[in-house]
Amino acid sequence: MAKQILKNPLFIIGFLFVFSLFAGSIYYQIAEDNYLPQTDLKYSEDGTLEGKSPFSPVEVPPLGTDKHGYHMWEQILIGAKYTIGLAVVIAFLRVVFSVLAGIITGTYFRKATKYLTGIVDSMHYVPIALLVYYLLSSVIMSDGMTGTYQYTFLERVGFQVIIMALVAIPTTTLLVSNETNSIWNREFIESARTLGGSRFHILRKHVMPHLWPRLILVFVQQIVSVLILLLHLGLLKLFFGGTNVSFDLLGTEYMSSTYEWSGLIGFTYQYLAYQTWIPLVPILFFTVTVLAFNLMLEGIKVSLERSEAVAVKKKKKGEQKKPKTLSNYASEKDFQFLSYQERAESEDMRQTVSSR
Amino acid sequence: MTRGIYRFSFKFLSAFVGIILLGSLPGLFNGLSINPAGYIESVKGMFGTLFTIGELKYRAGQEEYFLFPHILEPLQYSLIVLLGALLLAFILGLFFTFITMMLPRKGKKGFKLFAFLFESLPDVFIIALAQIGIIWFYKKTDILLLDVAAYDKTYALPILILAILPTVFFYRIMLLVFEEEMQKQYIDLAKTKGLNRQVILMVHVFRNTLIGIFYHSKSIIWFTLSNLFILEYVFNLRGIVMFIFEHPTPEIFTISFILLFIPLFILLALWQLLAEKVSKEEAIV
Repeated sequence: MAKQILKNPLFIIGFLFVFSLFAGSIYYQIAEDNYLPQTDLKYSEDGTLEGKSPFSPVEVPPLGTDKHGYHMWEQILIGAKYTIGLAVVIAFLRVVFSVLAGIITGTYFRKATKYLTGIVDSMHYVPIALLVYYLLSSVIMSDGMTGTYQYTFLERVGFQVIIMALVAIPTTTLLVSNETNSIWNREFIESARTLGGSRFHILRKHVMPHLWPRLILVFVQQIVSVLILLLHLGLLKLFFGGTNVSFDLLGTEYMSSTYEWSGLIGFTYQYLAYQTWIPLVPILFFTVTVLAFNLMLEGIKVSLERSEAVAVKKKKKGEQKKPKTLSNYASEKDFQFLSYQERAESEDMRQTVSSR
Repeated sequence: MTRGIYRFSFKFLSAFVGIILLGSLPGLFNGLSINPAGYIESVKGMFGTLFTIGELKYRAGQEEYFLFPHILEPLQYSLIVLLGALLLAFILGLFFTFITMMLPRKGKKGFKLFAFLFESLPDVFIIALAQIGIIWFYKKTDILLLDVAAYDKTYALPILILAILPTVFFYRIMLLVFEEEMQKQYIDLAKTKGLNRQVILMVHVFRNTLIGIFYHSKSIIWFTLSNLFILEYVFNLRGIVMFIFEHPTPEIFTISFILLFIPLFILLALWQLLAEKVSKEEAIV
């Protein structure tokens, strides 16, 4: 199965994009120490001033600069490891807890999940970004009077990560629980039970092999969902990575100090009308990364379906092949030879059984 | 009938309780530590406020206003935009599905890939593009299609922008269930009887796939709701979700979402009954 996935072109394209962005970001930190070039004034060859920042992608390739002349592409590159890493970590937290809770409820409390469904369903009516905003704003935000934060930077980030993981756990748990439940309802489980397997044994040996592939899908789905949540939170000006405050004639301006992508959107979105590329570049990178993860998701889905189909085919082929191998020929030892009398008796028995 | 009433009222009540449990969540945190006793208290308190709903107030600037009937205006606006967009998306999705189903197989594949790529785009990206489009149009023609700073309500453009992604979702789902349905034997029978493709699609296939479309429309509604939030935020629309965003107190959060939930629940219930009646199947939800 893993081989199938690694061979799938959709998966490869998606994976290569994300991996090269992530690896490039880490390499840039090691090799160049996150060097951020700045072009705030630009002169032509004879030394006359051509313009001041921000520069568009045409003036300063490849992606232009922000208001202070810092190059956008390097900002994106530096921030990539935080954004992608955060998405993977939060998705991992979500899946680990949901899988534990989902398998337990899907195996041992199968009736209770029916009642929980209704309550958990209500969570879908609340946009998840608004829920995170609501929880963070009521717990962590500075009070309006003094405008200061009560907690340290690390405490705030930790709390935000936990909240972002927590808000998706009920719905994901229910998803995993339903998947587990549907495997428990399949026919082969019935046979495993008849053969005397305990619940834990059946769970380990028969349910889990069918559940793993689904869980991989859930994990990638959650990465996409976290990325979109980060994008929304960036728009709402709630972001990670701390803030660089710069005072300006137009008022206070906050910038993400780690260049985490959602921080690059929040306070630049207002420039969409004039310097379109400044907010659009991080939004575009979010979009392409989401697309890449979706390609991986589709690749996994396709190869899972295919490997299931192949498994069925192989089984059929194997059955036909069997007689050809020598060891599969029946030997005399395999039979129990009956006397005429015994044979008559057993036939009698068969008749009575069939007549019943 | 009684079974139906039981089915819906159980679902309604549990979702109702769910929203209250969700809205009381800030009580669970005492600073950064967890406080279960405080949570139970705030859930109790929340049930209490539901009975004194008429006395609730909210602050706007220096003034205090009664929550009712002030909250009903943004609620009505949001519901019109949301339902308008959903209806438009459903109709457009159906329309594109019919067209695609008429195409030869090779054409279909291209459309499917396009729909998949389109579906993967985040809502913020679509809304940003729409905004850029509006600005571009303004620069070219001097006509401002949507004034972000305006106080009067606009309906047409928000509905149009909000409908973009749900249209693609409906289209993908409909294409999937339609193609599955076309494999069935009664379609071959209908073909041999000489019915033309349009009639088979529009009458028989559509009727029988309604229940399949229903299963997915729930998640489409949820997605559109979250989309609506971003739309209201970016375009500064005076809807209910922005109201909650501006007044994030537990009471306003809970009551607003209950108010938003009730009409959507009724809509889904009616939609489910209709789909069940038409396709003569009972939905297992």
